[in-house]
Amino acid sequence: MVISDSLQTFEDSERYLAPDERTRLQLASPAEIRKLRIFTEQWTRVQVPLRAYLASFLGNSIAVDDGVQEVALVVWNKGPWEVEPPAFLGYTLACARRVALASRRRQNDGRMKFLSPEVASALADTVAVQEQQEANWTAERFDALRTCLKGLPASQRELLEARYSAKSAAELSSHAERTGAKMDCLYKKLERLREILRICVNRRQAQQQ
Amino acid sequence: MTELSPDSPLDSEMADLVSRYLDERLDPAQRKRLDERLRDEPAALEYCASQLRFAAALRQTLEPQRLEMLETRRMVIEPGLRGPEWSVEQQRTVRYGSGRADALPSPATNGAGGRFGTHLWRWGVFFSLILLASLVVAGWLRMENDIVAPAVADSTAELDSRVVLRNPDFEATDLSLAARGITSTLVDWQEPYPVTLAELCEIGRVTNGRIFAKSGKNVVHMQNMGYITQQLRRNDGGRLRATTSLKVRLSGWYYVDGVPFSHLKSSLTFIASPRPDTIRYQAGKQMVKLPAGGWQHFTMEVSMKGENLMREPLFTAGAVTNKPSLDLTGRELHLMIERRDMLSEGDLYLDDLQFEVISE
Repeated sequence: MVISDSLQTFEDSERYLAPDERTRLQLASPAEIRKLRIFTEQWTRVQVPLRAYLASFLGNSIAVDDGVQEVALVVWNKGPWEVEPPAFLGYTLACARRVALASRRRQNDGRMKFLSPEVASALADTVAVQEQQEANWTAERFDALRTCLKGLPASQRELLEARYSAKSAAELSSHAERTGAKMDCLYKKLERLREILRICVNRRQAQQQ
Repeated sequence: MTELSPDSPLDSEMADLVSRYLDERLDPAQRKRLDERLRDEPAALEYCASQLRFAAALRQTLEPQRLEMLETRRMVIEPGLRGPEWSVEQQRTVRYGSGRADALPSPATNGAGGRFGTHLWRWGVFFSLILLASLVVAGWLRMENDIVAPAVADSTAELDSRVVLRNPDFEATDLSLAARGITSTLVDWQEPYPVTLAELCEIGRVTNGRIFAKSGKNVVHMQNMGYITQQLRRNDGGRLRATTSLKVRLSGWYYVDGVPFSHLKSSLTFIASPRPDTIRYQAGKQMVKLPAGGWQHFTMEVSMKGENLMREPLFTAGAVTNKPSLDLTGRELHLMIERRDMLSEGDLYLDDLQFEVISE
């Protein structure tokens, strides 16, 4: 019985997973693998709106990372992972709102700089509405962004990588030291690079359509 | 005429304000101005939301965030009053962090998390095999050809003299079966003293999922005035010794909880006599203020102050009457990390420490 269960698991996972993952997955039940597969698809779709939503309230990338972590645990444990993607997004963002408000309460020591509660809330709602209306961060749009990034000169890509690394402040400082640039100049460059990339992505998408 | 879309900048001020918000560098006046414009202008709200989404996509592409669930199951079967009884405890934690193997991931790595993890494993195994093969070849060449040997020996010697912290991520102890997820035993961090007002903590479990470790499961929890110490050793077994030009860097991650900020002191210390007749000298120290706000990175540099290393004892136990000055030159050093606040409230957690000798 145990062997046949394992084989069933093996066959069920075969369509989705590389061969070297089979051994590991024999430890999980078919129901768990199914949940993992569906949850992964759902989670992949909501990551961008979730980050943007949390950033509306928190405005600090480390706090946003922590928020994503907290939301993931709640959604994995209690979330309706089998529902349609819009419902999953709605549930995730509802969790995110509670997590973000709790995080603001914990961190509000008078020196933390947030947008006012009503503005943060309106901004987060706008993120949610845009996501539900447009849903434009599709796989194709990500592909376009990757292509645009590859088209940048190495120095500009390096700057973006420094900014968006896990230790962005330290990485940016060391980038400034290495290149002899002032931090203000680097931030201006970042602003321009984001604009260039935005235009590039929109153009590529328009060409595809 | 160009079509105005939500992501078209409204004006240069708005573009600048939003860019500053994205890069976390708004000053109070700019924050107030952004707040006003977002409150009064629906188009500004649309533009800012669109930029937040673009920045999130950029982050996801440049630094894909890996989600890792850790499940621990504890099954107990025992004889009960009415026959055998069993119980199952299950704990889930989640880790969210960078999992990128390359700056620009291929489309395949952006799909399901399972596949992404598999790619990392493959690369890890691949590079490990390359490293192993290199070492085997180097060893073989060393035996076969004396000309190659000095170069290999030199690089090995350089590597071996580095000072590396032991148990820097606090994962040497498995707390999964510990009743409360904490222990006062901190492997490698109680030399020569037992830790005081500090403990090893499986933080996800202890805080009921409110806080998670920066990596792995464990962190060190420091109460006020708590400290941990480690003798500084080289890879080759040698000790780090005091010199006037010694300068070191300690870095890592911290989490301040329940208070707006905390203070962390690190020092290079010579312990002339451990307990009970403690005599301790401090060669150099550094203190930093750590503001609250989730897991944050810290760096502190410790160098020797003054022209020489003559020091008065910083601390002596009550029973010690002889408190001589001492030249610390050449003495073996300990790294001492202490939490130093005025009040005893709140918690400070540390994880993933790194130590580097800048100059000797």
